[in-house]
Amino acid sequence: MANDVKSVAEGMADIARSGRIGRPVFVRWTETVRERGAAAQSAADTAVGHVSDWMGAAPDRQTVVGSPEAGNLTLFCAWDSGQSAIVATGVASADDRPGLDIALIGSSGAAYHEGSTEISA
Amino acid sequence: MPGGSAKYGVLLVGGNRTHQETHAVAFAADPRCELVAVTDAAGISDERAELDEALASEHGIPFVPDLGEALALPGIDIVSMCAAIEDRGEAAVACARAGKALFLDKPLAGSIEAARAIRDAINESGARNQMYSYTGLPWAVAAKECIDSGRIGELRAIHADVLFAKGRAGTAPKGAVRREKSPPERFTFIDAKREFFDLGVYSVGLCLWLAGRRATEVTAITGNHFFAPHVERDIEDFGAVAMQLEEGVVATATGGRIGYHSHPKGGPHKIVVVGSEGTETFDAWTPHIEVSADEP
Repeated sequence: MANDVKSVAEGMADIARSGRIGRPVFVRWTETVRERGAAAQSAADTAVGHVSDWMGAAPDRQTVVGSPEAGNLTLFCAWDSGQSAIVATGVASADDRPGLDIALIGSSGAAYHEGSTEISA
Repeated sequence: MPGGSAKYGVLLVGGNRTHQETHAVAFAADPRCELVAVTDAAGISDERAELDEALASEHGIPFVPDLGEALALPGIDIVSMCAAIEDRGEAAVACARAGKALFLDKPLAGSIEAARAIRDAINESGARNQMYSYTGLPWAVAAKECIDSGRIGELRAIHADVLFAKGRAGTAPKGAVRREKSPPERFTFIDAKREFFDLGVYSVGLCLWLAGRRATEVTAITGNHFFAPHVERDIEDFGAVAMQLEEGVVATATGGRIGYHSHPKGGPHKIVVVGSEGTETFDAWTPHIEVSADEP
């Protein structure tokens, strides 16, 4: 299954807003990217933007570990409301398509996405 | 085998309503082993003693209340340690000093001091030991083989999740914000236990085992997201941690209980390993078979 990141994020936003899973309390966002450096940083920034949308606000605290130059960047986000998220990027293998793995954990349910973010030719 | 053909004698520390119930069944079923007695730490409650006696009765072995006396029984080779977390440091040290092989329930202890005391006693006595963990599971072994093979290049990061889909979530009061206190005083209650403490040991343990490196910086959060009893007992039902490991490797881990309707299987059990040349995922539930039918 292949979906672009924006479509997946919109789908998750719909679920978060619907109340079906209760209040979003934790997000694990793991994305593999083709390019190191700015591309990894951009992917992580975009991810935090989407997660902030689901959580209802931007994180109040953020810890960054790893290195975009190496392709692996990890952001540990926390909200004063108790919510938290881990956003991580890693380089995709040369013979693999970029992928997106999300676990959106709510107070009474969860939504998951696994799949490529690039439709093959 | 001890004495050539004799069986390994097993002393059970801790009784029913602990993991000892399943450990005892496994030891009893192993033809190399023989259960000898049940015992426990000093100063346990009457309720705990009754639970110990109940397990002893189920297996037709004696309950010996005094740990020292139990360790002195003839034929004890192995100790299965399931004393209460609060008592585990003292009890495990006594067993290690007695030179018995130790099968230690997780987590090892309730404080760094107690864990170090156990480690030191084991080092001094040379007792063989193993703490229950996930490092022997096929998907964890596959992750280890991936890293060791070098096919993802140099290890950059490890992300591990061990969340259990158990219990009815959604009972925690809305907006409950956890304030962690240190050191924790109690770990286990009849209706709840510290979930990040109890399950995070799996995911954090996987990260450290897979990386073979120590943590140099740690950022963590615990939460009261799902269950009212955990809020009432002031213990966490969830936790997440980010660790900077030696040599620039990063690790993150989650542990907790998320409710039985929050995952199609037993809960997210997953490892992602990130290398300089690629990323691979190892999932306890993959591959799997899905069945769709009109049956309820």
